[in-house]
Amino acid sequence: MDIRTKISKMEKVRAQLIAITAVDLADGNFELIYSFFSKSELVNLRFTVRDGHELDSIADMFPGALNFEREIIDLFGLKFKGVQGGLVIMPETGIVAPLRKSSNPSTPASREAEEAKHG
Amino acid sequence: MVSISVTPFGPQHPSLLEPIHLKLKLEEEKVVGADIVIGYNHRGLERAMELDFKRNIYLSERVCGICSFHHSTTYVQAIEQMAGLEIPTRAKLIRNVMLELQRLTSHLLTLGHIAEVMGYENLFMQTWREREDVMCLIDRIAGNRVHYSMNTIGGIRKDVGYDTTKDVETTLDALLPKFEEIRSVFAKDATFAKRTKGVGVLSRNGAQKYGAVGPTARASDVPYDVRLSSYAGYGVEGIKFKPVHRDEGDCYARTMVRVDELFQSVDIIQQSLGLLRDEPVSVPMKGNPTGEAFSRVEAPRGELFYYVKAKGAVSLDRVKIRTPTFVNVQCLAEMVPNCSLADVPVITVSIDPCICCTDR
Repeated sequence: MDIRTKISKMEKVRAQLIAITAVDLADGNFELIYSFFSKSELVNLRFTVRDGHELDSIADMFPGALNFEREIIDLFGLKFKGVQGGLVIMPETGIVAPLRKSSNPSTPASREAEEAKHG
Repeated sequence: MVSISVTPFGPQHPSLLEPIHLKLKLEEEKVVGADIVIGYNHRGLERAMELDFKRNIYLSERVCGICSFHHSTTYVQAIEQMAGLEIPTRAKLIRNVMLELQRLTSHLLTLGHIAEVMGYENLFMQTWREREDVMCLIDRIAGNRVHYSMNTIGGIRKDVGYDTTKDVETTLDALLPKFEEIRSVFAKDATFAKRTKGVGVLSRNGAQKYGAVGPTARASDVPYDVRLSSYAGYGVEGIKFKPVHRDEGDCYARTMVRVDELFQSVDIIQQSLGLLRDEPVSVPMKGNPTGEAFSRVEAPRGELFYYVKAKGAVSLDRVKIRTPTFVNVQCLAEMVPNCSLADVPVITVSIDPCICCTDR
């Protein structure tokens, strides 16, 4: 995985990290988009990663990346080396990766159906 | 040898209504480190926004109450970008006016908060009194004080008339001397200077490292302002402004950047009103969006970032919201070490944290 090699180039030009976005591609792969602000423009570096693969953290180069990585662990269930989740979802709540396409959040309609079923 | 104790600051605490938790490591009264815990308010809005791209115009406003118009502008810009819509100049300028009016309410709110945590009850009431004038003005323009629902994909839902623009001008003219008064208190008061100068310093390097945005970055000599990228009406010919920035990096600088931005906002509103011409305020959008878009707006607290991925249907594939406080709270870890425990509320409020936004 060349995440760190590519991102270390952004560190050299003193780019500013804006966000790390994870997108579930629904085929067992995830897209990670690292958005940087460099030389007055937005630069997006894209990586496609497989589920279950332990990813390299960039928090040593960009300390601001730590919260993004922790959020991705919580919401998408991906793994980063040496980074713990628990930023927005407490581990004991039992909610696992709610932003994955396979997770089924309750909608108003499904809640009504559930309530009707249980009287 | 002094032992280190861990003291919780929050999530329910005296300086803020919103839940943010700092685990402060203390050596007697001195702070030596802090862990920042957020996430008490997480509502899963990113998932809710995948359901219907049109309802999102209103849902995005509900992400935050103090920068609601900035959120909806960022969202509709993303959809306009995907649909290839060029919105009329009048709509762009009206967006400018509303964005800057909301910046006024937000900055006045923060200045009041900063005054309050320092025990300046009167200054707190004074800033909020002026804020009330802006809130009432917004109520007269949009019909709402907090969630304006003025944005739509392709422009603005309802035009503003001559009476309204005149009203904005007269209200702002009346407010300017009041802002001068507020500035003179913050700039000249000796106690305020003692409580804030050299307190909670964020170095230029630290601001860049953590990716700080907004007044927090601009007070640390990083003149990073997304308005320079000319979204909404900031790129219209005739609108001129320069980002306010200072180099001290302390609580005083962060406060004064906001005070100076009050005047900058009034200036941008006056320039925008002067450029309004008669023309339609929206263009229709046909069909469902496809593709993906990145959208950035300078919210009162800093850069607001949306990533929207559509799939040619009513529902969307992914919406990512990066709010300014999400990156700014991490800077607290560099600001609080070596300060006294009594300064922590002031430092926390000086970055103007909006936890409601951050947790989404």
